[in-house]
Amino acid sequence: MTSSRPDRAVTHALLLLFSFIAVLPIVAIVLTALNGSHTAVGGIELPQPLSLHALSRAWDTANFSSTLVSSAIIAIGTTILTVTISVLAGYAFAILRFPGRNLLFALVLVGLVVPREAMIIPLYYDVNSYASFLSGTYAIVVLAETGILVAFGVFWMRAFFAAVPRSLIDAATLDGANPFTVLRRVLLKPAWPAVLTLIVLIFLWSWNEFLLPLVLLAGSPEHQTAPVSLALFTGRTTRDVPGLAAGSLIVAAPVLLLYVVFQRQFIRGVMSGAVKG
Amino acid sequence: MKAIYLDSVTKRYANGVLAVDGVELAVEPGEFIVLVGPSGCGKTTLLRMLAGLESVSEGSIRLGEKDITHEHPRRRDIAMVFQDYALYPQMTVAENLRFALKLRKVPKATIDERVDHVARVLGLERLLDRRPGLLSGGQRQRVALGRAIVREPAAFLMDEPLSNLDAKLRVAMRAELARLHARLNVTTVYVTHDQVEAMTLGDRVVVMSEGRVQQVGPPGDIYSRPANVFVAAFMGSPPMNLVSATVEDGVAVLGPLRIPLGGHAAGASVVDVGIRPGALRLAAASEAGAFGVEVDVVEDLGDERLLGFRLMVPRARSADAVASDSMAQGDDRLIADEAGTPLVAKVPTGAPIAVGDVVQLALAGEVHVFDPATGDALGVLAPADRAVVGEKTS
Repeated sequence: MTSSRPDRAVTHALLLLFSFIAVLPIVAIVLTALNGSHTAVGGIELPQPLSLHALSRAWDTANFSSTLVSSAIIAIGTTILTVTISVLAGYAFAILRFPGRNLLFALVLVGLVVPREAMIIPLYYDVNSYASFLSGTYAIVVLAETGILVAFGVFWMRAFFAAVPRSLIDAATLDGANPFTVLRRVLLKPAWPAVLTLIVLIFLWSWNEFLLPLVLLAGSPEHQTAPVSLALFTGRTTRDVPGLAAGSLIVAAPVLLLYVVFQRQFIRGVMSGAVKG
Repeated sequence: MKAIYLDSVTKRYANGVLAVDGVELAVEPGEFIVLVGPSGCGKTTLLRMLAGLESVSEGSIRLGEKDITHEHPRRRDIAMVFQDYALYPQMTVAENLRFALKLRKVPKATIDERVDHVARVLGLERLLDRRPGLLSGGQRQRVALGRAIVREPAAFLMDEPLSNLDAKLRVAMRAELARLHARLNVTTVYVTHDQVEAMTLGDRVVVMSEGRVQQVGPPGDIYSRPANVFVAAFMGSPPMNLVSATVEDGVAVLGPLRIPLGGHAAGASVVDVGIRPGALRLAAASEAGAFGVEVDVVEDLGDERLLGFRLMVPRARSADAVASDSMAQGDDRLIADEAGTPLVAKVPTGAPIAVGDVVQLALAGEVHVFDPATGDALGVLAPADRAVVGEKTS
């Protein structure tokens, strides 16, 4: 049904309004980051003078040359481990029939609802008690983040595989494929948009993770991550707002780049669950 | 030795549902056997048990000499064509055809030879580099067939492969399937809910209902010698006219008709009588046995016509007749039975007949007699076997 001109005009106006509201905070941060002074800024105004000094100051203060590397190591490690487990487990829960499948999946889903704030303290003491050799290492953060994020990953991939026509799997089975071959040679390629979406989401969430690295890497400042280093811009009595804004932009840049590169596949992956082809 | 033997095969689900109940069936080598029945009758479940995609609760399945009851699907020498074709979407047509052979580590030269041959037979040469998403329904169906043929299995299983095609293409593909089977002569078990497909394709037809086999036989036998009311009502289009008749001195009385039963239904006071629409013909008013009816529906099919009319006779009483006649459920009726039981006659195209016209009909074909309590067939009265005494009504 084609809409009339006034309808289209109203639609566009509303979309512009909501786009503006969504983009406004980001514009404010960018403008704040381009402010050359240390002084606190409020509202949205073109900085006077316009300067990139806050960016270079933020880079040095937060030691981004090291913290960005730490964030990348942890985010990449978490993404690889989480996505691998999620694809395999999601496939198993959706396609394979085994005793206790539904109960086990329900237990996995519990991981979606338990807040990490509730588990962080017991986790810290458990690590120190039972795996102290991992304490302060990248590995413990990767394992902890994987443990938390895999619940969503399994849920996401199970939903995708459950929507695959059963006849496709039956056909592959009759052709001689075992369950792993069915996954690898028949389902993985069509699942790629959903897997790519999961990769982007897991990387994003891991990259932006603050609490787990803060607690688990407390004794290892050399391994600290970029989001945690942003706390350096806020002291007990002072606050470097332009520096904090500049640091936020630097932290956000890699994920923004990732999204820009993969946005088409990301949208396709999100929509593949909504619309059957 | 039978190609496929099903020995008391039963499927009972965990929730207690009995999907297949003690099916015994022997399929000859090279035979094209059709499982037909309404939705939920167990035909697809039985096919999937043959393929190994459903477990067998009781009984056994043999493929040739080998007991495959508990054999994994990939170790059964069976290929299947699915209703939605189940083509691998990311593979080209050629890759779809090769897939099973590559998994079985067939030598490349053999794979190439078989794929080329099947592509030629099915007219797929120009489509080998296309993906399934770019194929029409008929082309996908041929690829699905090709994927099964290229494996050179001991048996084909086909689960309603024509149901996703439009009517015209379905008729064309039916003929192609028959030609293909004649050429390949591979044992084929074919599932359909369409009784026209069953009658035209099968060497033998297995009619199923509620998990049980109702009748097995050549299409002609199924049509002309139905074992019970269910088979009689299910097979044939339009469905068989089924009415109840009282029996007086060995003669069935149904409205204006008096049909001597010739010893069938001895001792019964009531029988169910089935008359196929094609067993009625237009008659002259002066003919013995002719009876007049008022036409209330005319469906012109081109070379023949369906005439709907009503007779003041009760509907058939057996459970299957009632179940098969949705109009007897009460709520579905548009016109009350007080106007008579609706029946259909199939006559050749000829002089125009309009709604409201009174025409003379006579029995020209077989009359089937059924037990109203069990639905079992009691006998078939051929035209030469009976003398119909009718009262003329205008």
